[in-house]
Amino acid sequence: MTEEHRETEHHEYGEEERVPEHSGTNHSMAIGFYIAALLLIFGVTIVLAGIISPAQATTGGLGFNVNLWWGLVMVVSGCVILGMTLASPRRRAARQREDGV
Amino acid sequence: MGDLALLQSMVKVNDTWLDYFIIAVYFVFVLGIGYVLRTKMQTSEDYFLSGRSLPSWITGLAFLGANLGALEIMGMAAGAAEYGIMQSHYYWIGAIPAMVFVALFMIPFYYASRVHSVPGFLKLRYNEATRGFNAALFAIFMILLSGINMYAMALVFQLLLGWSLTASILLSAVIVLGYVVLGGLSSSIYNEVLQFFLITLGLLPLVVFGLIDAGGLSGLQESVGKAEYFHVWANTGSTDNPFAVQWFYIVFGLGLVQSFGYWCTDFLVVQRALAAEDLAASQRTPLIAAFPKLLYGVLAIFPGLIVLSVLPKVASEDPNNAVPYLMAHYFPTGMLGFGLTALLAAFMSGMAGNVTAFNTVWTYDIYKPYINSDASDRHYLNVGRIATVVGVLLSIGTAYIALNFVTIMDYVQVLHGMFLAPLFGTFLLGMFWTRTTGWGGFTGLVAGTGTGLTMYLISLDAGLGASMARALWAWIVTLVVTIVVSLVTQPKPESELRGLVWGLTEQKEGVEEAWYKKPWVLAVIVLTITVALNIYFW
Repeated sequence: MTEEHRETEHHEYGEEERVPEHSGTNHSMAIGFYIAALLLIFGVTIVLAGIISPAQATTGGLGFNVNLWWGLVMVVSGCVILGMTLASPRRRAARQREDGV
Repeated sequence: MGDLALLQSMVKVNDTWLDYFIIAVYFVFVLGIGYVLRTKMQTSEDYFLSGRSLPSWITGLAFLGANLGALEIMGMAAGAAEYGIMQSHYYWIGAIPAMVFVALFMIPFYYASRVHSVPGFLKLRYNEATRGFNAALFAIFMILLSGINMYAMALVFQLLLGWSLTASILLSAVIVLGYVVLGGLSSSIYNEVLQFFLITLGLLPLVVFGLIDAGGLSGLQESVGKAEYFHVWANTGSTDNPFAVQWFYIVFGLGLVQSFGYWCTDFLVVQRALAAEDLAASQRTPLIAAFPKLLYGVLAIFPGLIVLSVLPKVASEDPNNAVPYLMAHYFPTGMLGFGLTALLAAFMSGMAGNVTAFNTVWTYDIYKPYINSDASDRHYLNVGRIATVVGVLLSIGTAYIALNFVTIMDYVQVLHGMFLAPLFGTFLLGMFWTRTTGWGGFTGLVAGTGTGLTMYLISLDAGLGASMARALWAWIVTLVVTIVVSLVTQPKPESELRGLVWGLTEQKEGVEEAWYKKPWVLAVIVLTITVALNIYFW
């Protein structure tokens, strides 16, 4: 476990005390990274497939490069989730507390 | 069952390693995260509820992810191919109002009483017998549901590999077991959130491409050629509509009994809200899930309409397979691998969800109270793991039961009518009427379940209308029997009911300062959109 993971979850409302009852793993950030990573890998793979073989024929061909465009949508989705995870208030709070110590 | 030659001619999966690569990457990730997390799940609270530490956006998406199984993807599209857009009643009137109710009224009770499960709540409010009866039924119910996910998973493998259905079912069992043994269940919340994104990114292009191909909504309407397939409420004053039921059954049978029964008492989904970091986040969980649920009224339903337009043969011969066939039709290699991965992810995590629920109920509500009540926490964790393996094996059998029904949708609605409708009656009275007694609850639940089961065994009618009616009757019998028996038995003292009955509970408000996070604000917004959608597709 890294230092960051050992931080207990910070309660958003300071006046209320929380009873620590879990192992302290910061699941919310881990989930964000996990999903962003997988979407980015899939998105990049599909974009590459679209660039390398743009003329992929399907029975219902729509006349545009499906792999390229939807791959880009997935890359953008992955980036948005990554950005939100990195910028999340929880992460900032954790870093501030680390600096304070 | 699909015509294999038809499948093979439409699917070019065998031609490429790329689709297999994408599927392989998914499995590496899922098993990897399971392995990493296994060492961090130290207590049973960790294991089942992720330590109650998650923010509401995660629990909200996991809540919906847990709900997005085979039924929501394969079953709803099959239903839409059969009944048209009326099928979206299962989303709009058949889910949103109940999700709002769960958020506003049920979650505070579950959260305050710190129960792991619905049977746990029943024990506190009623008695040991009620809990035991419900726990046994729930365990059976979960295994019956788990079979659908296994069946759906096998359909995808059959499509991919061209194997027989039996071989595909066995392969699915091996994969789910491997997933569980390697620690997959400790990451079920991770995978449910992931699955939400995979399914959304997999179904969205299907609907978008289908609509572009058909020339928009009006083009689709024209090519399907059945005007009644594009209305949700028109002609429900009579039975002259695709469902062949009147609005009364849709509103009360589906919208009230079946829907509230499912969302209030299926703790596979409720458990996700309880994993949230505090009461306010818990309450917000079903409301956050309700927004994408609205969208799924389109995403899950439209593939069924599009298949009617572009692949009418599939729509009539094998509606359960509408979504994978359409993917094969529109997606080139690469995208197709992704689309099929999204389906496998949904079915695997759906099954993992059923099996987790099974092992929780078995361990805490059957094994611990009745078989071995003073062992270590570690012992119960191991018992839960064994229960999971047994659950997967039993699901192979129930996959064959699911296979005997015309559509997956019919099968699930039969089960919901019998298992969840009576339970909802028991809950309602328990929560809102202090006079309800322990034995009143027990006899009512037994009588209601017996009514649903008997009605089904007499008619063996698995149609959707019949299931709505059965649910309504089972619920009414539960209410009547519970009330009558309660009036002649000794009520519990008020002191024992604190925190369990509305009015005897000091409502602890979730501390929430941001106005846009307040439960009632979210509830009003989501209900307004629901009404608008119903008017738009009138």
